[in-house]
Amino acid sequence: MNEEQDRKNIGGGVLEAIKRGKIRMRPRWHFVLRAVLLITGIALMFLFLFYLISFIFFTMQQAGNWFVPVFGPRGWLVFLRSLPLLLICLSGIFIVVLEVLVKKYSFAYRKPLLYSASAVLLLVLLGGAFMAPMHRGFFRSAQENKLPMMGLFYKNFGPPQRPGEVHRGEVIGRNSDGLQMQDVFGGTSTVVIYPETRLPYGADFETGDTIVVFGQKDESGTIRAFGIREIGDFDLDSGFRRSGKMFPVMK
Amino acid sequence: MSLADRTDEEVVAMVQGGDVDAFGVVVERYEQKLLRYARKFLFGQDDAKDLVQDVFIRAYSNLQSFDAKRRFSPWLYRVAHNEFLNVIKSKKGKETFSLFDIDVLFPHPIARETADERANSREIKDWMEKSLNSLDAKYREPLVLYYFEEMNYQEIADILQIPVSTVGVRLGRGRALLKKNIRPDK
Repeated sequence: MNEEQDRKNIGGGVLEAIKRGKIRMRPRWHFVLRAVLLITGIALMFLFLFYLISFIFFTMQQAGNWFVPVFGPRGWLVFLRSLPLLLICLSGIFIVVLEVLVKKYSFAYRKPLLYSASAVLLLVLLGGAFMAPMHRGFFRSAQENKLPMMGLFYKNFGPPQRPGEVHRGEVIGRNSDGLQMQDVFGGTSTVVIYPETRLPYGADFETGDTIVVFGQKDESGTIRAFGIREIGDFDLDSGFRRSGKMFPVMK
Repeated sequence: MSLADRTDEEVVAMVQGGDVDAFGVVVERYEQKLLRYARKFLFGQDDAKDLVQDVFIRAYSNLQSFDAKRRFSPWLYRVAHNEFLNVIKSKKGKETFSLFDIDVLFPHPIARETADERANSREIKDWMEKSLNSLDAKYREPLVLYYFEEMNYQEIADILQIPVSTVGVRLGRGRALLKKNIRPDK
């Protein structure tokens, strides 16, 4: 009896409301549009994160801090201290938003959060690492004031701002104590190599090699090298290379 | 073929095509199930009928988002779940329903129900009748969907939008809590 009553009330009420036009079925395009917006949102979020993460990689590579963990705990300390926390926090927020969006799909919510979040993180890190070289061009344009909107961004975050213990440069000669290096500011430094200097990838430095020197620089421009490594594939980007010569632009 | 002989998905496709009367068949097929779901999950609220009516209204409004190639019942239960969750959220203080749960974070081995537990499903239903109200909503809901609505793990995962392994964890914990409430000495 109760069931029959429920049926009359619910079924009758709903159908009556539909027929009177009180309830309307949303058109299919409404849901298609929502789906398209969601996919677009996810794609834009991925692109933005690729950009942000690659920029973090780029600044750390350009400052040289990316390469110092190889020198042991002291290198790790400098590496951790040099992390751009503001950009990392911003990336973290966007990764959370991206995860929330991705979780709307069954392939994501059916798996533990750890898996889907790890997959998102791995994707943005890989994409970021892949896109890092793109910033060289942007950075050069910013230095030449050819990047009106983003130029300030590159100038504010752009590498390197204050030389600390990490020095990037190009080997311009060798001497009995060590090396002569032209840094990204255009200055010349003497790098003194000691028996205890850490050389994880050997001491076979040649003129033209791009290196990272880890150590304190004194007032005379001499660096007491705690460690040196070659970073062959990472060109100096604070200066230009024209016809094989470096033209420093920061003075 | 009469409407009664058609599958849910075929009937829904007719409604999507403009046959309003076919929606009456959908209501007829699911109203008792959804009333039971509402009464068990929201522990016998007086307004269960109104809530189920709202579920059908919402389902009708959003029917074009349903893909007729998929199963209709998990989709409809998902609509109901969202509606009921809004009720729980609107009655703050009475019951909490966390947006984030640690259970969904880590992988768990999928603890399928043993043959023994399946044989005791009548007994578990009896426990639920007596003591379901004592359980948190996050344990109560999968138990109701599994034992009363006879959904499988995958369907429950789709309705609640949680990992399949988490469904197993919540069912296991829910059963254990029920057992503890019914037989405190064990």
